[in-house]
Amino acid sequence: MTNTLVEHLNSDFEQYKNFQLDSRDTGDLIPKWRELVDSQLERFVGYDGYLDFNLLKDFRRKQIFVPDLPERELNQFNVRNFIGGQRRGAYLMLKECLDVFKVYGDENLLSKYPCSNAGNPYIFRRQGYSYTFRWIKHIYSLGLVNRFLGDKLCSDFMSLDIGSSYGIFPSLLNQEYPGSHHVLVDFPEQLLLAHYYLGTTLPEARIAGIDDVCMQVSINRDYVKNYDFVLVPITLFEKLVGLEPNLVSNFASFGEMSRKWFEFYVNSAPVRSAEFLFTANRIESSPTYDTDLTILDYPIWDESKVLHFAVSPIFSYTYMYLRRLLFWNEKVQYPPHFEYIGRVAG
Amino acid sequence: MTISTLIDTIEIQTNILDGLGLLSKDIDNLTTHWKQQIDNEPNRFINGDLSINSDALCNFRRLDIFTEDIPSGQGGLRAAIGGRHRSGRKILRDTLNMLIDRGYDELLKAYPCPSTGNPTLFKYKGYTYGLNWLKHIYLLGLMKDILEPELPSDFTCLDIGCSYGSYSGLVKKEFSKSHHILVDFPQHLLMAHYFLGEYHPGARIAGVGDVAQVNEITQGYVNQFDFVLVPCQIFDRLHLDGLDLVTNFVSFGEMNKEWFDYYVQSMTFRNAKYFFSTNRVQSSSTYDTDMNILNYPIHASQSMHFGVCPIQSRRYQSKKIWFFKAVTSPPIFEYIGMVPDV
Repeated sequence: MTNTLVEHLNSDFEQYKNFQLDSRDTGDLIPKWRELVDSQLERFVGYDGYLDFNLLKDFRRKQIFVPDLPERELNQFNVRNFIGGQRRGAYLMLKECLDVFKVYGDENLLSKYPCSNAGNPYIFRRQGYSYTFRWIKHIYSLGLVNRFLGDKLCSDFMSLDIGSSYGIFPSLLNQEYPGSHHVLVDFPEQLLLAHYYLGTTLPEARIAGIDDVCMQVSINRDYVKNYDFVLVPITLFEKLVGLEPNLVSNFASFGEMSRKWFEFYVNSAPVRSAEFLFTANRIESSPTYDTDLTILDYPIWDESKVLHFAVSPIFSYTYMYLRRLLFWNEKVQYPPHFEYIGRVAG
Repeated sequence: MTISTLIDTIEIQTNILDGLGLLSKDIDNLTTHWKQQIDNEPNRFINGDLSINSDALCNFRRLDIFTEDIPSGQGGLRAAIGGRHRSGRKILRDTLNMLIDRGYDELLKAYPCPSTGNPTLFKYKGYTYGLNWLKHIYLLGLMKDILEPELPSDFTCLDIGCSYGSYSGLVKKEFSKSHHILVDFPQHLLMAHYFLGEYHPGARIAGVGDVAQVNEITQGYVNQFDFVLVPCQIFDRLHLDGLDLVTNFVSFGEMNKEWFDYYVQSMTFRNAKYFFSTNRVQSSSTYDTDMNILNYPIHASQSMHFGVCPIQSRRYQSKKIWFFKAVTSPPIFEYIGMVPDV
């Protein structure tokens, strides 16, 4: 990690505190996210109240904020990997999701973009590929962009990723489309992780962190064009004015919002003025999440605007294997997700 | 009505249909699955001289004519230990447990699976049933939960893709004053005639041949009957304004877009009050049609219920004869709502 990145992150955190962006004060969160925003920041902040870079550099290994698979080292010989039901299940799941992924012919992308080491994740290696479950899902999504939007987006397109987490998808898009610009929206605590992740994975990238964004009165298209990545905390979302992004994306997070937050985003000017929407979300959010959102609520029902619609194979046709009686596991189907790419404005 | 009288009636209907050219296999624009079905399945119970093979018709559920069910087959040692049969039993147990969780087992107690068509049945927790019957019990439960307060006691329900009519038959048991219009391939409706004639002895059934001779099927006509059997080719003769309920379970998703539009663009559908449907979110993984949920006339503002149908959510597949594994089945949505204004 460079000194510059450390300085930027410290500056982000300083402004995060000065501008009182603490997500614990955010209302209308579903219980899962309430619990996460209440508990995750302290996992990478030291007792002295400053960012702990030793914890930060392991944030993916420690599964801070968002879980991933594998959760442990599965490629090295370890007898527990053979007898533990959960570990065997994780191994099987990662093997199966690669099989599902390969059906769609995007192996070249997985070879081109092996899983980033930033955040020190446990990486699964198989058949020459390096990935995690979260990683392969984003590579699959990148493949969809190439297939359905590759010839429609301008070379310097601007994307807005709502619920970006630590930014795997925008970082992949930026590598695949080097002239592109990306606005990431999430809890500010997640954006601290995103700044670390993006700064480590793409050291040359121009990143407007929380500190820059806090100082702006508004964030328009011209401002974003000065950067590769602009990190916008959810409470500052309304600073996005005149953005008219070429692409709005949301993966599995609209479906984890309360209706109030969902409507706040889908009815917002940046979303309504976007050229394209790309989303993959649960067909029905309940009972996994405490929200009544379903596919009926998404702005995808104008058939004339659909470019792609399907049941998402990578989200829906892989299984979780939950530990059962220590040595066994139970095969559980993921709640089905849809994937949609279509036009929004005009 | 005795079985032989019922079969004689069905034979008469078959001959009328043939005379009107509606028994033809030349129905255009079918998906491959249904083209094969319509080419092969009628021959399993209609003889070449248009007489009815009564033995086959009396066993149509055991023989899986047109519609497969679980359990199927005759039992025996292989059924007891083979992976396919054991997985089938697991599905049957899972599904019954889901019904019990939702409190719909009371309906199963009230309406046990009939033996019409001589189905192979499964016994568990004191219930005797097959999977298709459980599905229809579930749909009846859902309909009661959401629509019972909205519908008049003598409501009319149009079931498009009714198969042999078990859903309509069940609803009629629960709502005795209701009227039912069943739409499907004419050969399928002959089986429905048999099933409903047996399940509802004394019911007033307008058979396919009789209906095919009516130029305009109005509410007044429907009110004279408990069940009106309408071959799919003459669906456009329905002239019903303000029909109470249209149902479609799984079959819209097995059609191509032309047939789908033929139904949902019809005045009868568009002027109906409620729509109750369960269908695949995306058909193409199973059928050669590009239908998906975005094509359906369903809207958030008119929705009274929407969810992922719990019944087909898990499947088990035979593996190396003796074993089975869980496989993902294509997700199916369930929707009840007002028919949207166009």
